[in-house]
Amino acid sequence: MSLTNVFLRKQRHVQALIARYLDGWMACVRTFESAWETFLTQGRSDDFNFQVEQTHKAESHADDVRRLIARELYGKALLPESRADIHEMISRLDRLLGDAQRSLFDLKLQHIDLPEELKPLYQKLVTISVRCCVHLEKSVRLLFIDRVDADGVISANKEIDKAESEADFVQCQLVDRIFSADYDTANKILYREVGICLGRITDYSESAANYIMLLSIKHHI
Amino acid sequence: MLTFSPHLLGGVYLGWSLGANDAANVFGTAVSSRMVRYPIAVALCALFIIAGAALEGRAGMATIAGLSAASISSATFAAVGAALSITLMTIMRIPSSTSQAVVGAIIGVGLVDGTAKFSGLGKVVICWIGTPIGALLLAALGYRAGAWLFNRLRLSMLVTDAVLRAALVVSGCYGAYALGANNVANVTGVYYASGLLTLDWSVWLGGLSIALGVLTYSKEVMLAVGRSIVKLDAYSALVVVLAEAATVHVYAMIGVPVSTSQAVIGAVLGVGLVKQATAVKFGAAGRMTLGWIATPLIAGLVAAAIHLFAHLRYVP
Repeated sequence: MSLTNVFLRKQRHVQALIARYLDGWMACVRTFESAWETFLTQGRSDDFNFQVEQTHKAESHADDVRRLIARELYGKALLPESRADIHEMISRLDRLLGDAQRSLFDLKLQHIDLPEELKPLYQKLVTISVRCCVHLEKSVRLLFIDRVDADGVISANKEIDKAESEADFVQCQLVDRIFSADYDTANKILYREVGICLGRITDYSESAANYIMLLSIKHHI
Repeated sequence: MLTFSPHLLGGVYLGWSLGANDAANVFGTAVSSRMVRYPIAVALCALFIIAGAALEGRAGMATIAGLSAASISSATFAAVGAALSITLMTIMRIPSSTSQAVVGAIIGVGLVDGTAKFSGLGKVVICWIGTPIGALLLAALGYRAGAWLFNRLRLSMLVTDAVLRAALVVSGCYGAYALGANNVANVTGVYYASGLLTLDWSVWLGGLSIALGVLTYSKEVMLAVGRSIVKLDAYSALVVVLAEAATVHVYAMIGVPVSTSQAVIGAVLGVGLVKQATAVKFGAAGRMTLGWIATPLIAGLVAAAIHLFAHLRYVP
C-alpha cells in the first residue's frame, strides 16, 4: 500500500462507496429504461412486471449504499463541510431515482394503458431522461476523481441543461396532445401525471447537475 | 536542581491561565469547526508548547528580565496579578493578551516599589503594534499564494479534504510550538529575573504550566474564538493559524513575548480583507481590542494593589 493511499485511507473509502452507489444508481436507470421500452412495445406484460421489480431492487440496493455512505460520513470521515456537501448531492441523486421508479409503479399499479399516438412522446421523454442520467453520472465521477476535471463538469452540466429544455418542450407537446384529444377526463389526468413524472427526472437532473457544478466551484479556492 | 518555593505557584497559575486562554489561538478555529477533535488538539498542543518553550523559549526571558529588577516577592505579585486578570478574561470568554498582562503587572509592581525600568518597554510596545499588522499582511499574502497553488493542483474535493485536515493539524502544532517559544517568558521570566529560577528551569516550568492550562481548561475559549470572529472555511482557518504562528515565531526569535490573540485577529482580518471583508464581524474584533487595551491596565492595577496590600503594616 503506497503512502498516498495510507494518507487518503478514509477518502478512498468514501470514494469507493460513492463509485458503488453510482454503479447501483446507473443500474437502476438502465432497468428503468428497459422497463419503459418493454411497456411501450408489449404493454403491462410479465416481462414488464419483472423489470419493474428489477428497478425496485436496484433502487433499494442504491439506497443501502446511500445509508452506508451516510454512516461513514457521520462516523467523522471528512471535514464537516464536505460531509454535508456529499450528503446533499446523494440526496439529490436519490430523489431522481424515486421518480423513475414512481413512473413505473404508476403504470403497473394504476393499470394505465397509454394511447398508441402518445407513445412516441413518452419514448422521447424516457430517452432524454436517461441521457440526463448518463451525463449526471459522468459529472459526479469527474468531481470525485483525484484531480478534479472542472471543464468536464461544466460540459456535462451544459448537456443536461440542453436535455432538460428539450424535455420541457416534449412535455408541453404531450400535455397539449392529451388535452386536445377525446380521452376520458380521468385518463387525461393519468396520462398527464405520467408525463410530468418523467419530466421531473430531467428537472431533478438539472438541479443535481447545478449543485455538482456549484461544489466544483466551491472547492476551487 | 529545582528548589520548591511557594512563590513559584504564582507562575504556575499564570502559565495555567495562559494555556487555558491561548490554546484557542492555535487550535480554536479547527476545533470549533470540528475539523480536529478536541482531545487530539489539546494533547498535540500541550506537547508542542513544551517543545517550543524548551527549544526556543530562552530569548524572551532576557526581555522580561530587562523590564524590572524585581525581588522574589515582587515577581510573585506581578505573576499573580497578571494571572488574575487573565483568569477574569477567560471566565468572561474574551481572548486576552497574557504578554500585555505580564508587562502591565511588572510595570505596576515596579512603579510601586520603584524598580520599574522603561528602557526596554518601547521595543515591546512596538512589537505589540507590529503583531496584528504583521499577521494581517502574512495572512493576506499567504491566502493569495496558497489559493494560487491549490487551484493549480486541481485536487478533487476528497483529496483537498484530506490535505486541509492534515495541514490544520500540522499548522496547529507549529502554532503551539511558536506559542510555547514566545510566551514562556511571560510565565517564568520574572522568576528568572529575580534569580529564583535558572534559565533552564524557567523554560521547563513555564512550558509545563502552559501545557497544564491547555489540558485542563481550554475548551470554552477554544470554541468561543472559532465561532465569534468570523465563520471560517477550512482553508481560511489554515491560513489564519499559519500566519499567526509565523508571526509569533518571528517575535520569539527576536525575544519579545507578544500576544497570540492579537496575531489571530490580525490574521483573520487579513483573510477577511482578501475575501472582501463581508464575513468579518468587526464588532467582535473591536470588543476584543478593547479587552487588550484594558488588560495591561487592569493587570498593572491588580498587581500594584496586591503589592500594596501585602506590604500594609499596622502602625499604632
